[in-house]
Amino acid sequence: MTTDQRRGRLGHRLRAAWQALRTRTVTGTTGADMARARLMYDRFREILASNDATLHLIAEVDECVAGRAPFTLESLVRQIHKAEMAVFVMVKNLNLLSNDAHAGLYPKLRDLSAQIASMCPPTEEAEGRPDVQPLEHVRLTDAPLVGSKMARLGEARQSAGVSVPEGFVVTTAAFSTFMSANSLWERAARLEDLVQARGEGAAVALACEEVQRAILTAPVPETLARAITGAFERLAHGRDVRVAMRSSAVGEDTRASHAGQYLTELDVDASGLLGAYRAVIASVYSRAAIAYRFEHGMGARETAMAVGCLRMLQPRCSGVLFSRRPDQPGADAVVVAAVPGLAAALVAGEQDACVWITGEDGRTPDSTLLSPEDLSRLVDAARRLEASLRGPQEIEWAIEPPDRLLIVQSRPLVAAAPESDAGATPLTDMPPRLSGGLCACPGIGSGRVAVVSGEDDLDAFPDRGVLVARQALPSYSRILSKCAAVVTDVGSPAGHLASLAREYGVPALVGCGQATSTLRPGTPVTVDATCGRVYDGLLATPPPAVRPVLAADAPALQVLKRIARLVTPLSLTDPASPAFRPEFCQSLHDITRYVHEKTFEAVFHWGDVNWGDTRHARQLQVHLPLTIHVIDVGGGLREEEAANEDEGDRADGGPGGASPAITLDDVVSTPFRALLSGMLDSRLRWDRPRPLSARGFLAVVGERMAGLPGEALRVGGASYAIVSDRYVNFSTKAGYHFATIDTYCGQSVNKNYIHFRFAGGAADGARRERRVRFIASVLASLDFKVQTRGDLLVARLGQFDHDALLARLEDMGRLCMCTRQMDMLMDSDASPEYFARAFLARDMDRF
Amino acid sequence: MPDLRLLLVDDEPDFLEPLCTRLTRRRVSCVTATSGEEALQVLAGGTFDCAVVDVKMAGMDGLELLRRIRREHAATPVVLLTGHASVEMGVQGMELGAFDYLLKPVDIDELLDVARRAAEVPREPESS
Repeated sequence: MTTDQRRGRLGHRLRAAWQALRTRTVTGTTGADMARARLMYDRFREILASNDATLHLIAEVDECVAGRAPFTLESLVRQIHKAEMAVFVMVKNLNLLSNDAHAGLYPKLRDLSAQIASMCPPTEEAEGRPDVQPLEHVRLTDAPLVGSKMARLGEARQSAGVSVPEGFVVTTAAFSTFMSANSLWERAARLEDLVQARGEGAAVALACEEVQRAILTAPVPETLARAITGAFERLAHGRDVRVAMRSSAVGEDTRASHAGQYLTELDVDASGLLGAYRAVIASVYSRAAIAYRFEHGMGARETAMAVGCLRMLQPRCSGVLFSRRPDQPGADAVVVAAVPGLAAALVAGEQDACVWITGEDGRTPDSTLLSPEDLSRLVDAARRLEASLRGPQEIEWAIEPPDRLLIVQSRPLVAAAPESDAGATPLTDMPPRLSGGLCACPGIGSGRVAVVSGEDDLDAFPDRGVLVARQALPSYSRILSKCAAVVTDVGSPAGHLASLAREYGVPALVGCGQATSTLRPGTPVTVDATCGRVYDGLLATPPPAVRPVLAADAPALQVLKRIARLVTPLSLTDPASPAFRPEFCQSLHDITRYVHEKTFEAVFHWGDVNWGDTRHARQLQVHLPLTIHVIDVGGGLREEEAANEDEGDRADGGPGGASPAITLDDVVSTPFRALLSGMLDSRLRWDRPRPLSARGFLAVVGERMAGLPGEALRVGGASYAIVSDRYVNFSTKAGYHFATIDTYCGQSVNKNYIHFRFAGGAADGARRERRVRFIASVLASLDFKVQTRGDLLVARLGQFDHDALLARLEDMGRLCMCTRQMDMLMDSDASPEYFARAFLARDMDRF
Repeated sequence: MPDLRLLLVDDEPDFLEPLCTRLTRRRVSCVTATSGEEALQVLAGGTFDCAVVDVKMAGMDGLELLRRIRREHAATPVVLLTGHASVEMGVQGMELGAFDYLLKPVDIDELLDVARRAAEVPREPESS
């Protein structure tokens, strides 16, 4: 930058400051500047959050394309649409931050989005699809119409040759009709958004209830009601028949098991049909189901709900059947769990069952419950279902007298990853606090005991806690991702919570008898689910099991590969390249990269933004040769100080109405405190005369006199800190350089960063370059990635934990003070290295 | 004297009323309209700092209303709100001159910050 250019820029800044002063006196604006700062900060944070979300999705799509992760095209396509929207928000916010400097991204994004849409399979419309479908016509490929559960049951009947209960399915088309007729989609979609925005909490619980109430009280459209009752009459054929109405959602029972998330209504007669139908579809919006879907990235429309209506059975016994052992999926064994009568209580985790494992010696079936013939029929059915539904199965079955085996449900078995043999030996010689129970998911987990008995306990469940409960209830699933382990008094490995524990890879021990009375809340324990033991204390644990990967569907993979070409490749790799422009963006990834880069460029100039009315910036009273104005955009200053700001909003004053100054004690922003603590390092002697070489002094003074008006000193002297509790954007124009530190410091390592930009300086070119070399050398030693171009330096540091980042920020604070008049010290080519060593050795006397 | 005068346009009263109540509590004056046509009538009779418009409405949709406001009441900035996220709609909205495009459910503080900022932007192009 030449002197003339710099003079021109400073002059422009002066004019802007003068204009702002006039505007303020004339109009006396209200809290607009605070609103503006907050808004800019929020948009900036939103860009970063959308960036993270998009990059996650890109990684996921890559995994799927490579065949390393299972997927369903339908759900992935919806995820991609979500990512397009996140990219739109990024593009929009960047343009709002930069006065539409990057508007060329809009048409590019629109093109990409249209291209992606043209490749996606059409979303099915309800028109022309039946509201009701008899089960005998259903095959696996009908899943979009009848839901996964019923599609698999139909396929089991047709190709595995097993018997299933007679019945029909109220289809997803009917669901769509019902939701549309009562304008319920809008509400449902807002519910999902609410979870997205607010996370799982009380507000969501209320909203869930509201949506469910709306569904339960909405009328079933006339034609749909006739179709359902008609199908029931054909099934009953004049007899007194009752049905079980079971949820069958699209996507349920495939990749994510949804086990027990949705309602089943038993013993429904003709008069109760429509009420039960509404009750089952309302369960799509239960709190547990919403949380589960959110965890798996599925939206409400994705969970199109069909309802299977199957004749109620009167079995002599029933139960669950695993075609493989969940804890040893490789072994040739079948696990049978049985109870007398109906098995509802077994799968709900409220009842213990008799369990047989075929292929194991010394265990003969209880002859009153299952005969050897029953058992061999079950094993045979398990193997046939495995063959026709491809892969190990988890099967619900019933035997009606005298010996008619019926399959009620068959879903993919979520097996634990194979355990090494070492896993079977006890963890330690220590006597266990508790032993026994059945392993529902092998593995070892440790944490503090949290005894759960109701919804409130779930809300308060601690991160990495050990869930201890009397029953293994499916509603606990919404906190499974927070559990280190699960221990219950009753329940069986065949229950829903058990299969969810396997899906999440949470070690689980069920049916321990007295876990709730033995394990005291808050005490640290280690659960060895594999060996059925619970020890006192937090013992060292081996890494958790890795989930198995399912094979991907080939035609879907082809479609995905075509779409992925518009999503994942990154061609914009070098921000310095002339091709780093909107028109060269070829994928969502490119746009994301571009926006991310340009966002930080924009943020580096925040201090340069004319904040106009400085009444809303609080001056920080601190012993430093800088005037620092602090703008709080959320939790960066003490509460009382924030309150004062609002009063400031109301005060209608000119320049005299400035907000009162604040002191160091008022600053609560963690990264800003760290930065200030470095700047205030008592070893820095900026207030004393420093050794100065005459040549250096003349070089500085000479350039000052040549170029800049005296007033510019004051304008240039202001530093701005835009702060929140975890964020600071600090820009300082002290001296004739311009430095910006932008940092976020929270508990999530992946989100933490420090970005630093340094430009300009009053000395001659050689000295400025030496100063940049000094800074580059120091920052590289502090793990920054540094890029320099002339006297411009940009340095980035990412993925540091909270404490390490704060230590770096203190260094940055010291560095800021050291470089203030540094160019005067840079009188030889050896100076940069000499001073870098001195700085890193904390030899502050040199500066 | 309220801080801000807003026009809220959404064809769903269930959404409008609670939002209006919460904004009024924050010293913001709100007028509501449940259709694009009604919104234009209201605009013809008074001035507002900002119009907050739902994109998806029966009859005249939010984008059409945005077009009309840009043409007939150019001094009133428009913030679009939507529960139905689509890139095409968003890009169109921004290109048609929406001040911002927010997704529902909207954070009330964010909406207020956006509306304040929209009100603050000069109504005529800057002469300097």
